[in-house]
Amino acid sequence: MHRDVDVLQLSIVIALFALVAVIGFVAARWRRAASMDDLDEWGLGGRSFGPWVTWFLLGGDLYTAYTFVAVPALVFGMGAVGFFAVPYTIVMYPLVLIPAVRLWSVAHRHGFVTPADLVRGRHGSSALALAIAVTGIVATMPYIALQLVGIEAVLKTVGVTGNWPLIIAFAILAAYTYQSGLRAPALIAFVKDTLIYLVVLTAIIVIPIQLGGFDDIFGAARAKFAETPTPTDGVTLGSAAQLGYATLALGSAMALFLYPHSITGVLAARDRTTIKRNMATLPIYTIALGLLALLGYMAIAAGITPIGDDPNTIVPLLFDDQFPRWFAGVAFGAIAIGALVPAAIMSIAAANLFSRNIYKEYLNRDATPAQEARASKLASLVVKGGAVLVILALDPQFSIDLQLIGGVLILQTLPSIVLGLWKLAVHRWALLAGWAVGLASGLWMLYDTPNPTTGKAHFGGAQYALSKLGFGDTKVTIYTGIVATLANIVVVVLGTLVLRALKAPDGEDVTVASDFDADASDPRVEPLPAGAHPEIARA
Amino acid sequence: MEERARRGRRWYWLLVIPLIGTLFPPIYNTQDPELIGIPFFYWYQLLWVPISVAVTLLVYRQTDRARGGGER
Repeated sequence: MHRDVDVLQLSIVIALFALVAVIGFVAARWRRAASMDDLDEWGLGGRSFGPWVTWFLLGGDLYTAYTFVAVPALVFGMGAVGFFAVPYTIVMYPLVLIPAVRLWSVAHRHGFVTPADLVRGRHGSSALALAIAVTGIVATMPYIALQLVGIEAVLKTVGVTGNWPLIIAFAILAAYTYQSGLRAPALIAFVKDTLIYLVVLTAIIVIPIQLGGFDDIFGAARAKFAETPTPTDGVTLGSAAQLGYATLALGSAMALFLYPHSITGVLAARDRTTIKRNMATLPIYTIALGLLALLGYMAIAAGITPIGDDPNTIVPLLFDDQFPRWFAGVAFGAIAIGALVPAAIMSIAAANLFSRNIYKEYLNRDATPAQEARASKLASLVVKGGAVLVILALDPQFSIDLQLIGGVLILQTLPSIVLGLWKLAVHRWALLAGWAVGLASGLWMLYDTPNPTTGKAHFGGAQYALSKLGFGDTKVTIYTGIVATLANIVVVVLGTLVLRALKAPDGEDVTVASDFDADASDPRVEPLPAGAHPEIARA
Repeated sequence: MEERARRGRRWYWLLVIPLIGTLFPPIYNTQDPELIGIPFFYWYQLLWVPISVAVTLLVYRQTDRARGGGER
């Protein structure tokens, strides 16, 4: 289906995009630091964000444009299963409140910028830190690429075809992220979220009225799912889908906290109170996400058919169908900008992992803070370029598969990071072995998952059949990431017992118990005097 | 101080409540009772957002050092 370019809507999208680009460049002057040639400034906004800025930053970071188009698309296609995003983003906050404040404290004391810094300092293993850093980068890359899918869905609806708009959008994004660092997405997030809330509130009031109320909307959805041969769709969950629903929500919540970009958002906070307040107030975004999920059903009731079999276009199409032209344009702008905030933070987080845990650790051990910041800035450009190439060169379905894999991968950093936040005597080699077993088993299960609906033999989804795990003849499935993480933890525990019995040497732990409770008023650990023996300095 | 810290820490157990409320689909995987045409499955889970906010706010207030709660 070819759509004509809607000039009015395209102009609105471009105008909003331009506004945001200006804000992105100006952000460098906001709360200007003495120097941007420092990873704390470029990569963490000077660790100075208060409750409000953090709320917008983390909200823009965790609830990505991709979520806002993909969740309704999943509800449109599958029904109740797609609503997992709601329990997922409810349980996340009570689950991570304690780890998040402990992580903030220890990072404040020791100047950690990345999760791999923590692993390096706490477990004293550079091999383990490298494993965590590489896992973080690999898991984040497809996530950045997916943000482009959100922009693409909007462009298709406006009638713009071709790759150049995506390339221009990302080039501008790359330029202001390079200049302003984390301050750029923090400021842009204000615009993004104001627009998103405006659009969601309007949509949830106006569209159901126009479609004759929720009775008719859910009636249309029930009628659609009754006609399909697929047993897993429907307005409520099938009995075999319930375990998968709950474990996917739980696993996704844990995975989201472990992603480098979430940790960057947490570490940029000013103090512990900022994080705790945000864990209580961020679920407001979950309401917006839940209401957006219901748009999937409204699209069914409105008789929307996706452009060229791309279900991600249903939300923009629904807006186009139900809103006045100009307001649909504003909604499209909101989705497009919504992609920029997380893409910027993700590329900064991945870049910090590179500069801190690969560049400084292996390539230039004597790097000055300025060289380190420069490596990070350049890496952020490479990461974004890579994301554009992935989207242009490969089928978008491939990045969706990669992101599915990414969630399973990032969960394997859970024992090293979370157990590292308590003074548990886990052994560094056991953590490394657990990570390897978790990765291998997770990848194997993903490979071994067919998708009967699409006819794919492998990588057909992140739900693994319990019957394949020896639980008899059942159709019940479970989130693959949870199984792999359990395998990981079992290896960590058993490995630690064995290594302790063998008296294997422990890594040096630079943290002390009180580090994990330190607040902004507590001093940082003094850096070692210049000229100290490098082996000690790196310990 | 130690005693107060220990009492403060007990509040963290409240954080389990939202997990129990949302991670057991058999509780809420039904059509009825509907609310303005929305099946129970949907409005029940959305209802847990304000409940979870209230619980987390309570824990935050009770454990925040600045507010005189027992931190750690």
